[in-house]
Amino acid sequence: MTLAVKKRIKVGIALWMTTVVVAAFLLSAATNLPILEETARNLYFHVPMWFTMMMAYFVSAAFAIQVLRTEDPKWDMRVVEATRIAMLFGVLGMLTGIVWSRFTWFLGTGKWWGSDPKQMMAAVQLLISGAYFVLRSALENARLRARISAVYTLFSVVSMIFLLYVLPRLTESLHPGASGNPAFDKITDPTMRLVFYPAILGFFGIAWWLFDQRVRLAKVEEEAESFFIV
Amino acid sequence: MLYLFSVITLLQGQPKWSDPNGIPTAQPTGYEALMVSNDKIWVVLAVVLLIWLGIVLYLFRTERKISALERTLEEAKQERLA
Repeated sequence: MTLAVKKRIKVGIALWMTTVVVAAFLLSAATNLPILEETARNLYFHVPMWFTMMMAYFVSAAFAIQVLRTEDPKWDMRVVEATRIAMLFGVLGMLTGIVWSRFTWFLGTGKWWGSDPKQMMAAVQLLISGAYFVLRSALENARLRARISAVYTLFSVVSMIFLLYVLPRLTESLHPGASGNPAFDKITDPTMRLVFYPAILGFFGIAWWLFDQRVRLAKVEEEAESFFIV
Repeated sequence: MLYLFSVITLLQGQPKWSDPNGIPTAQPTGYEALMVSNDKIWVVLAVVLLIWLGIVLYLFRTERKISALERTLEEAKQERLA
């Protein structure tokens, strides 16, 4: 993909997300739910953060497999950057979830954190993801670092599936889709999906944009280093 | 498997969401009253701002790294010419 094509796509992403944000505030579907009220609109923002994190993780896992297959350093660089983007969206998802729950689940109680299984498991997953960077900093040999951290990435992606998808459905939780709660599709007004799905696509696009920036930065850094060695 | 089992066991003792004592009955005060006003639209604003600022902050970080690199490369090129 040439730079010019990428630029056009990025402009498209910016326009798309602007439309999504405007639509999120203008469409009045399902915003009079008890307790949730207008915060139902957070569906368009909080949930896509986690979808984007998972997507970025799956992408980093695909790169990790390439690292183990080919031992080409360019894949290792991409694993790092994809994991970075995944962490960014994971942290944003966590923060937005905390703010959202403070004024809905925990209204009047003054609590900022609760015993919700999905929230706890997400925190555990973020710790597992953060440990990836700690692991990398501990390994000096580049080849070893690439291989060991690639294996770690694959492990952490498997754990993510368990912690974020399987475990929360087995226990009682206030998150939709857990036992004691109707599943997500049953409570979501069809009109909301008109903004929700485009929002997911838009945030995927933003994640790709940030990833592309970091990959270009990493390439230039490498070039600059070799510039000085000569 | 042991890990999964212990996590599920740990989650057993948590307060059930159907607990009648957990329902708050006091009127919101202070910043809570502000956030829940206007049908809690300010909570939506807080969430969107968090995401927006997070992304913009990251953009700025990357921007600064690129600029620092550009500067270093410029200086190195100047040195080469000199």
